[in-house]
Amino acid sequence: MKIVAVTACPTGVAHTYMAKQALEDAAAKLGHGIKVETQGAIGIENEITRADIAAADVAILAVEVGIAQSERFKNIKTVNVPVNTAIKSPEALLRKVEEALKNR
Amino acid sequence: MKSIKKALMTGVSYMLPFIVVAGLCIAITGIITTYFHVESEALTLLNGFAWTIMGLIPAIFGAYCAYSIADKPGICAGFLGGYIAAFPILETTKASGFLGGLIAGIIAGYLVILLKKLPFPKVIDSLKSTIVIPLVSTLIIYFIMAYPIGIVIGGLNNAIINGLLAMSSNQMLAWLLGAILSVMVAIDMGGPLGKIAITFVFAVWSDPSGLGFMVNAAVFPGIMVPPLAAGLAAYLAPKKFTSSEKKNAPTAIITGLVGIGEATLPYAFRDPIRVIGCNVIGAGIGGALMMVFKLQTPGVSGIIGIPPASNPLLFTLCILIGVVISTVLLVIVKKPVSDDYVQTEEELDLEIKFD
Repeated sequence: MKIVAVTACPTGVAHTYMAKQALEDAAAKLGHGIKVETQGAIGIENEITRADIAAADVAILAVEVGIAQSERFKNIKTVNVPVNTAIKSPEALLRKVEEALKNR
Repeated sequence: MKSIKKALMTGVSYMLPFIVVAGLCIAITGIITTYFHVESEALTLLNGFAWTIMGLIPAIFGAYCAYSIADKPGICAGFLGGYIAAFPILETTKASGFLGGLIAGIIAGYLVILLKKLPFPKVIDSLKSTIVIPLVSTLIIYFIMAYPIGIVIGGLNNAIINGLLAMSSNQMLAWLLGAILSVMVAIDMGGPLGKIAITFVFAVWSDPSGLGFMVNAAVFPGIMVPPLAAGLAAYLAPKKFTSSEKKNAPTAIITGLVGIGEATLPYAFRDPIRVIGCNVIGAGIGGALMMVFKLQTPGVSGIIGIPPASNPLLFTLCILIGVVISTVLLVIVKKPVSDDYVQTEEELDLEIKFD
């Protein structure tokens, strides 16, 4: 499974980056490819391009604020979860997403 | 409901830097002028600029609440609606602060979503996003904020001020007046109730009895206790606060010291009943004590009010008592932030829905 993800929390200095780390670690452990863009207080970092989206199977938006450039994800299956879900249960989240993709 | 909470968080997220800048500029210019006794037009201008920034904050808040709901097209009406919340149009209406900005932002957001769905002949489709949506959404928000919302807040304002005036003529109830004013300021952290309390303070400012300076002293705990208590509690009870809240604590404390209460908002949104409840208790007690000791100050806000106060030591003590009470209450009452690492997908209570 190839994943693109965006993380964004209100203050934008802590959870945003914790979620990115958690998702990357979980993806590595489960053998999935992932690219995580953060939208923290400083703005967009590690921006996800159209090419990234075209090559991906699913987009995970672990966000609690409205994100910039959300139109990019119009044509890809998108999952919206709270930032804390990505931080606390990244592996379970990825497994559930994989399962849901298979059952479509 | 969920999208309203998200809108709120987005608004807070974007307005936070403005609050920090305004707060620190007010602080630095105030401290240099007051403590180092420097008279300078440059400082006065910068100070005035910082207050202008504060006035724009409901507009920024409204803009990004609307952005969260309706994306880019929402920003215009959201901003302008929030602006009216800070600078009302009709003479008899009053400012509704960031709460007015929130209302404006939410209405603007859903309004723009509606407008986006309007069918337009393909030929003039570009007019829809360049002219129709901005103009129509802004005019509708203008009418809603300038008239009904402004009038309601204006009516609320007059009713409350008349009540407070009646109370202020009764010496026995001075402590209650102080407590009520302080609670009003603390409870909405920059919103309409607090603004009404401040309006009352200005209304009686020149009263020969000195009431103006007394009620001014009474609202200081209302302004300073919430951010200081939230920030201090985050340091004292780290297990009960999220990492964002801990990282925000220095901002809350510094801006709180100069009389800006808005940095409390993120804490209040995550845990409203506990945070606002504890803050209000400490602030109320601080305000009551100010009136009981008949303390006065002509100072504008924050620690700048301490040196010119009638009894600086006692003044500081009242604020400290309020801060200590609220901080202790917060530390006791808040629940630990759970760190459980959920392992299995069965334990994760989440249904995957694809958008």
